[in-house]
Amino acid sequence: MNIKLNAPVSTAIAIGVGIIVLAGYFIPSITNIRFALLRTGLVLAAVALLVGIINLLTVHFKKLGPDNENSGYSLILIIALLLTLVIGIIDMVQSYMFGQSNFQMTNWIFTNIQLPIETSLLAVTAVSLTYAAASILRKRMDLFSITFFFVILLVLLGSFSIPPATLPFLHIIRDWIVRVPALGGARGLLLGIALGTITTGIRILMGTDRPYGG
Amino acid sequence: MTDILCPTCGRPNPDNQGSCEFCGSPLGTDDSSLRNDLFPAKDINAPGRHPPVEPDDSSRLDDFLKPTEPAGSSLRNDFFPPEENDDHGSLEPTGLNDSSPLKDFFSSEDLGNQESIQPTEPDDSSRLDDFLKPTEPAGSSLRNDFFPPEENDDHGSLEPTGLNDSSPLKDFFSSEDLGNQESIQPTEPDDSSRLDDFLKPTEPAGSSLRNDFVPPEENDIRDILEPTGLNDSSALKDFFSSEDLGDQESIQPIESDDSSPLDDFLSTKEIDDQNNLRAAEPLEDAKPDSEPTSFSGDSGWLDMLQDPNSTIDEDQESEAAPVSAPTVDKPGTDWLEKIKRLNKSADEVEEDSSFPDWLSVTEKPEGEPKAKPEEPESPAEDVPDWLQLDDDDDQLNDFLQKKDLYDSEIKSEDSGETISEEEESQAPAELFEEGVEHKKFPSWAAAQDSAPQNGAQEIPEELQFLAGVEPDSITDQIVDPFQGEEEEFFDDLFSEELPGWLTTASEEGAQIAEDEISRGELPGWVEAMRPVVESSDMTGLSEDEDYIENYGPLAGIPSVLPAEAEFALDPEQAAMKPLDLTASKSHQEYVNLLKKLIGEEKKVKPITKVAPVQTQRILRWLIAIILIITVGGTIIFGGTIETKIPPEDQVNSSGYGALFNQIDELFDGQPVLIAFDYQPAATAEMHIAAASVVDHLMEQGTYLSFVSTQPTGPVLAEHFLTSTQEKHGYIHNQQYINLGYLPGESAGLVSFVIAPKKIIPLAFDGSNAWGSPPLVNVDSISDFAMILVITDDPNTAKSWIEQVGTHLKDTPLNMVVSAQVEPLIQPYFRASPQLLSGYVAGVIHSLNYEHLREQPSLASTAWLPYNIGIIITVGTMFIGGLANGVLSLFSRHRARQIGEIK
Repeated sequence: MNIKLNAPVSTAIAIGVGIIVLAGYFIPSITNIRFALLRTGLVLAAVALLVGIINLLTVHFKKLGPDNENSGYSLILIIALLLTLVIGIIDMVQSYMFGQSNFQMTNWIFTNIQLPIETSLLAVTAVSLTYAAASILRKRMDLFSITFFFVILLVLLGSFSIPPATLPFLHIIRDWIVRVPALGGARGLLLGIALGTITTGIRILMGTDRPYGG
Repeated sequence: MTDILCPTCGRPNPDNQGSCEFCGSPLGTDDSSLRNDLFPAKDINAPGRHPPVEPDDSSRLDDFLKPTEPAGSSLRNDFFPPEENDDHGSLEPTGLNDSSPLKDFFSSEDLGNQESIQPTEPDDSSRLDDFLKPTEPAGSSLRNDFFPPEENDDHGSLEPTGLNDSSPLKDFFSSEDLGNQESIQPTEPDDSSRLDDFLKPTEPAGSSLRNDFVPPEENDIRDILEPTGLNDSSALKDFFSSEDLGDQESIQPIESDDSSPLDDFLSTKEIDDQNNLRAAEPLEDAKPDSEPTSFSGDSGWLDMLQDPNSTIDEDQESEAAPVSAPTVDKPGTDWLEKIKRLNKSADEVEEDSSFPDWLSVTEKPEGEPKAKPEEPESPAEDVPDWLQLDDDDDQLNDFLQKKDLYDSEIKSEDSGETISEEEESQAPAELFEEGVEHKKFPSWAAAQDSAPQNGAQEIPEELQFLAGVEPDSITDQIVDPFQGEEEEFFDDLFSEELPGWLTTASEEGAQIAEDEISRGELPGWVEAMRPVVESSDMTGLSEDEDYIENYGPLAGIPSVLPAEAEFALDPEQAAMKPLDLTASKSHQEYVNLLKKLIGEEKKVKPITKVAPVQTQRILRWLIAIILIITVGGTIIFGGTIETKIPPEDQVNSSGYGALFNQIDELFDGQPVLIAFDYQPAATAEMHIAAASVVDHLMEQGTYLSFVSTQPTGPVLAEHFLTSTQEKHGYIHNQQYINLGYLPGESAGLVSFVIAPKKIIPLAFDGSNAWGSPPLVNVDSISDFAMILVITDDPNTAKSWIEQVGTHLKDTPLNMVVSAQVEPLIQPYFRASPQLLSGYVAGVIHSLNYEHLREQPSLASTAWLPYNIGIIITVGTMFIGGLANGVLSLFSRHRARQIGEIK
């Protein structure tokens, strides 16, 4: 007998777990139940990471072939992933089997490959942001653009601190901008995020919003 | 000496003139009426006669009824013996209408006869009077001629029966009846004869007009009369027989022959007249108040002569007619007399019978006396339209004058001739036989043809036969007595000068005829111009596919758009047929232009890259090169510079100051949890910001436990220790522990807060994470001496603050964040209670932290390149922004100029 229990079961599980975890903040006696559920959730999250890695490999394996012009990138990704995985397994084996917990090969890959690449990307972002700030007045010449442009200049100049060229009033301006308008904006943003989070939690607990499907 | 008005032209003439000086018409001695001249004066004073109400009665019917000749050489003379004229005076008040055309007709008819018989002097202004004028100067009428003196007496008493003066036709009939009533015997009414009905003796019920006419006293007289036995269905015979009935007192043995009703009529009429004259008794005793109620019988051809409406209205008006309606002489009406004279003298009796087209013209003259006030039931407005005299009456008179002139010419030729009785009698007979076919009314009179229907609605049923409504035969028999035999005569008249109304009528008729002709036929010259091309087949399609019209006025013309769909045409062949278009040079130019436009639409226009893209790329490269050169050069060749120590107030209120104080209070061996939750891309900034803090912790001898919610966190931790804290020589599991990756983000943090050992039982290298002495007593996250979160993500910082900071009791939560996260964590630091104990944000706070520690570190090393980079960036942004702003202004100004130009 084929019974479709996907939607109601998943919804019931989501609502039940959510209510228990929420109640665990206020009821100490159910902390163990709450913890068990959270641990299960952590395992599922780790498994989901593995599933994600497998899905990534599958997608790029499908992209391999003469028909796809970007198959080379997929091949590089697959090789890098498998190589890193193998290196990590080797380091893990070495660590777990032989007690050598230095993870030298993994650190080398990270330090010499991943870290410079990501740092370089962030540096390129710095150049792009500089260019965007310089061209903002050309594409939009209005009050908000001008305000945004000069606020950037003031904050950067307020960060500038070379003793002979230090301008104390710029530091004061920068601190005022950070503490007053930026703090107020951040608080408002955090309050909005909090309210949104509460609303989303309630919708999930009531079954109105089902991001898990069903 | 008074002038005598000419009855013809109406002009005054001396009284001694025998004829008119202007028109030559004979003038009567009596100014008022020609009748006075025609009738001897002795007749006026005839014994037993009623005093004449109107001695110069202008009643046309009187004229009509006027018999002047003693021996009738004509039918009328037979009708009206001279003896009967004595009764005219008594009959005049019967309401005969002078203006009635019918009466004029009859009067003219009589006059015509009279003139043909004996020359009279029509000095009467009224033609009808002339026509009806008896020999007695007192005036007479045809009715008087019909009736003997006895009847006239009775006639006078019959006038209240409703005979309307304005209705000459009714007067005529009434006079006819009255003239015959004396001698009328109660006959057996013949159903087929209307006249029998008309003359039907009075019955107690009094359902017929005749009964109303005839008083009971007359019934005795009628009893003398025997039934005539008239059973002829002919209306003409009925008419004559009905007239004969009036004379049947002396013609009892006469059996009316169906085959010759006219002979019977004539024979009986003569006898009747003679007998009536002898045996006439006063009709004064006749019942005068008898009112005609109905005419159920066929009244003969005279019934048909009258307009049905006239009959109806006549009856209606006769009911309200006064006893002796005064008649008014109407000058200029002797034309009827002349017409009659002409007709009679010219031996054109038959034509005369078809003469009175104007019978339909019934407008009442102005001088006509209206209904008497004592009889309000007969108002003047009840007079039907057909009784109203037309305005063309004068024109008609003129016309008839011309006819009279013509008549005089003919009369000179035919003066010695007399009209035989047969010819006289044949006229109505032929009329009746010809029926409707001979009915030719002029247009002005034909308009009255529609009247019977309207009139029928107002007529009692018993009177509808007079209106021509009831029997079809009657309607059909209402024939214009002026038949086709006289058309030639009238054509001659019309050819000379026509009255306006006749001209209009003739023109209208001619136009209608022309329209009818033009619709049906094409002129010959049009036919000659028509190009006739014979088509090859019945469909009209020739071999060259030209369509040829086969039908209609366009028949034979090729290349005509067919009215019907051409299913037989082959669309392909039709499409292949070349168009015979004549294109001028300008047309060719337009065609070429259109072809060019269509051809350009098919062309693919390559999209050229706009110049700004190259400029942007170059500018980006330029900015990157400048930054790399300056910053790299500064790093390589810059060295360190001394910075100014921040003021104490600023440090105490700052996050780095609070963090510095907290770390500064830690001691050796206390477990400190450090979370490496930043991305490898932010390693440079985070290493600079965290290096001084972690260095401070290591200096304090704390046991460091690394954990990360990022997969790359454990490696970053190792890299951080390796790259920044190499000098401390921390050893794994002895001085620090790398717990590895904590999955589940917020959930993992909550779980880690509750039971860290259960969540991460093993370290990153698989060793026992909680086996080292500082961590043995750590059962919860609050057992750590400090929690330091190194992150560049505000959400991660928020998660740590919200999920872990709320569960911390005495354990401070501190953060080392990038400069961009500072605004978001600052509210937690500046809140109360503080969820965030202290923080270090970016290079600046790190530098300040180093200033607090008084140990330069990475921040101090990176400060100069950092500031150079800031200056280059600010300079680039300022120059670029200024340039772009100016260009934007110029472009806007240019756009405005272009817009203004447009």
